[in-house]
Amino acid sequence: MKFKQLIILVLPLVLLASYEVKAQSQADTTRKSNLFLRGDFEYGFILVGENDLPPDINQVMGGNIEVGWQTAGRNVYDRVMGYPAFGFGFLTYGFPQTGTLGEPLAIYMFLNSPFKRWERWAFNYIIRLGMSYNWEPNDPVANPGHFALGSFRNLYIAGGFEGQYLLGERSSISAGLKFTHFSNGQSSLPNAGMNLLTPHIGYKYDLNGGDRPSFARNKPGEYKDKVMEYYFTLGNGIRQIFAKNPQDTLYPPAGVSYPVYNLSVAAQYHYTWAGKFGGGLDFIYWGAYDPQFELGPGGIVQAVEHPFADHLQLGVFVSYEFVLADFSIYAQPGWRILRKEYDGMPTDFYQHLALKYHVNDLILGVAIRAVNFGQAEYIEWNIGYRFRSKPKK
Amino acid sequence: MRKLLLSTIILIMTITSSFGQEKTRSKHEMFLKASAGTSWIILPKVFLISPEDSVSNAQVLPATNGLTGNLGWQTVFHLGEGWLFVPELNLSYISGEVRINRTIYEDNRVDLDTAYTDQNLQSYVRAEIPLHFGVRSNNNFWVTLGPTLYFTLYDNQGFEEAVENNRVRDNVQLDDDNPFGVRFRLAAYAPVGKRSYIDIRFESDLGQYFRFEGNTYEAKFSFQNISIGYGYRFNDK
Repeated sequence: MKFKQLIILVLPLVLLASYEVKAQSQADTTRKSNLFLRGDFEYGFILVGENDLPPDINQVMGGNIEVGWQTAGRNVYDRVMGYPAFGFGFLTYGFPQTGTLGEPLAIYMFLNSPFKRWERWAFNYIIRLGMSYNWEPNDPVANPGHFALGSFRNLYIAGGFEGQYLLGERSSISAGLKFTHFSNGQSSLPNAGMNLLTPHIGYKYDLNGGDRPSFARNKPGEYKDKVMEYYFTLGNGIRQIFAKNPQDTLYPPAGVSYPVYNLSVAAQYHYTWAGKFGGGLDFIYWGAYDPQFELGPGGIVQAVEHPFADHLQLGVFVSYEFVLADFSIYAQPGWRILRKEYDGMPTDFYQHLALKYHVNDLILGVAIRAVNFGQAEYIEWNIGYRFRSKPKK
Repeated sequence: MRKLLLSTIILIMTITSSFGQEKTRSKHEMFLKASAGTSWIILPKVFLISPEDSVSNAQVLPATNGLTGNLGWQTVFHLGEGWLFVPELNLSYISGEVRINRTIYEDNRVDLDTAYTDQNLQSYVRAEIPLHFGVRSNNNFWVTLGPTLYFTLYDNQGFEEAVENNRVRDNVQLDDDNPFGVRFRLAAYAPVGKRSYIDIRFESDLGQYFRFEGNTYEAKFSFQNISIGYGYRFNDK
């Protein structure tokens, strides 16, 4: 609760400071972006497997406040994206039928962008990414009532759509539907994940005096800076696997954590304003190779150690990157072409979905690595650097 | 440990002052700074089985978040082409809760009548010496990252207290002293006006273990935190 109060107090300061920076950087442009405040209420359903949550627990309600900016054409990506709105938000969810899940809170970034915009109407899609906390995770003694999540902090991902109507000059109302996923990416078991389907209603207030952008529909010119880009990233994550019963003894399942490290090197061709295409190699240290457990000194259940070389893998991937100015979202399907095999190993084919931010050429990113298009292997945090060739004149 | 802390501070101050003298022809900025946020413990769920009956067991696992805050001094050296060197000297507080579960398994399930749990706040006061590098973006905000040396000045012994409350074997020892170590920080700074900034940061202690050696359980927690800070520049550019 103390942290909640702290966030509520400090977050607006950070947001307003960031806005000031953004506004300063736009001093040479024709107009500023619109700063807005928004609030939503949602009530919906929990979509969790029947073995993970008692069947009579299926309702959720929540709300959020957001501070955002309506883009106004500062750069070409505003037009590429159809003048999106983006910013930061704070949300809370409650589960009226139970206290066993806690009352999660989350801080997130959002992007609201139109599929189609009319004079007063807009049909938008919504993407959110953030970090949630204040969950009550499964615990064999303190909280045995569910198996949905095993950690106090979980990644928050949401996507949805909505219709929005402009009332007067400053206010907008909206209604839509969101799908929400909370997960710790197998870093702390159990991790069945928490999925929510929630209709929402929202109210948005424009702080820029109703001075709305023109949303000019002129297409961006041809992309002329077509270049090759080479980059590397160093990534790290934690993969947890339930301990098997080493000596036919009886005890509750315990997750054992393994580190995973990844060096990715790639070459991509930046061929449009929003697109890069290429491929590369993943040099992987897979700590969870052949996860067997033994009873060690002091009665500690511990992982059986293997030679260093057994943990090494080599993957090859193709890459598509969707560019939004300094932000990028990229997808990299890959294949493990070299590794030592073991029983129960993940498939050779893997998927890598990531968000990264460029500070000049420095890369900061977060990614989900998965198999079977949805079975998370781990959450990867990465840092890297890119080198760009000079465009042909 | 105090000698180590003192000699490290002197070494760092010497290096940064000589660095500063060399760079007096270029710009460097000095800030007073403070931050506050939430922190938590990272420790793999440790699972202990009683060798006597093999159904009595204990779990040690991280629990709810605590608070963190720090106060300190920061110098930003401009290395050219947007690159920065950013040493600091800080005093910090960090905390998080740790839980110990004691259970007996009966018929393949936990006997909740005999199970019990204890949860305590573990906190430290530390002296910190961040030695970070950074990049200033075209939009005038900057990002820094790098290692932070820390030295523990005060330990509230919260974990030891929880263990004592749940002790079942008197003939083993616990060593969870963590006198010094290294952290990693990634921070983003947004200027506010001409003399100050607001920053948001993620930090993590490096290294964690729970092992049994020489009749002693040796434990080292890793603390992580997300904080929001404010810095005020007190020198002229």
